[in-house]
Amino acid sequence: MKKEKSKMDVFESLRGMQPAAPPDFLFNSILNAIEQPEFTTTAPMIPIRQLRAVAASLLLLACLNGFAIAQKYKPGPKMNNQTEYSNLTNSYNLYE
Amino acid sequence: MYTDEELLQAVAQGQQEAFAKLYQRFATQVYNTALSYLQQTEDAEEVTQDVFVNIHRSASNFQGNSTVRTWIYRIAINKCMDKLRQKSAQNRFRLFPLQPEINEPPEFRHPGILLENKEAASRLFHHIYSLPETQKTAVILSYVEDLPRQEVADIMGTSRKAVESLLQRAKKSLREKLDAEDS
Repeated sequence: MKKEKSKMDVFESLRGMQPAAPPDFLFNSILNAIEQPEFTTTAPMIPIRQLRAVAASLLLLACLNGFAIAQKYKPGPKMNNQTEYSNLTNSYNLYE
Repeated sequence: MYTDEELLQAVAQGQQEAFAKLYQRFATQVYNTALSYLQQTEDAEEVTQDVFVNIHRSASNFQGNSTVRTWIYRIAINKCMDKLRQKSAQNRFRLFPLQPEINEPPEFRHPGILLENKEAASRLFHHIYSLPETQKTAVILSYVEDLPRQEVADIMGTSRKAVESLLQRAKKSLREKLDAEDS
C-alpha cells in the first residue's frame, strides 16, 4: 500500500485545482496606493548583530571595571577594641 | 484586443483604463502565486497590491527583453521573497524571537483545491513552504501555476535544465517528508 502511494505523483492533490479570485476591494486599494506619493518602503537596515555584540562587549567591560575597582578598594580589617595596631598599619601603610 | 505589450505601453503613458485591463488580465495569476508562496490571504493581498503599484510606476522601464507576463511573474516572485525575508527579519528584531515553528504559516487551505484533495493538499503546501527559495519558486510556478518549464526558467533567470533539476530535488524532498509523516 505504501509502495503504491510512493509511486503516486507528489503533486497529485493539486490536480483540478482552480485559481482563487482576488478580493474585489483590491483594485481600489491599488489605485489608492498609486495616488500616494512614492516613498521607499524599505526600512533602514540596522546591524542588529553588531549592535548586540557591542552591547555585550560594553557590559563585559563595565563588569570587569567594577571588579577591578572592587579589588583595588577592598576594605581592610574592621577596627574594634581588640584590633592590634600592627594589623592596621599593615593594611593602611601606603608607603610600604 | 490589445496585446500585453500594448497595454503596458498605454499604462506607461498614464492611461488608467489600460491599467485596469492589465489588472484584469494578470491579477488572478499574481494573487495565486503570492497565495501559494506566502500561504496567508492578507500577505497575498498585500503583495498583489505591491506588484501592481510597482507595475504602474515602472511600466516605462520595461525593456522588452522578456514577455510582459514573465516580467510580471518576476516582480511577483521577488515581492514574495521580500515579504518572507521581511517577516523573518521582524522575528529576528524581536527581543524574544518566536520559536521557528510559531513563525511557520498556519494551516493553509487553498480555496481552489477540490474537496477530496483538501487534506492532502494542505499537507503538501505545508512542506512546500519549508523548501529552499529556488525549489519553492520552481514548484509553485511549474505545478501550481502550471507554467511551461521554459517560462519558469525565464522567470527565474536560469536554464530549463536547472529548473528540471530543482524540481527533481524538490519532489524527492517532498516525497520523503510526506512518507515520514505517513509512517
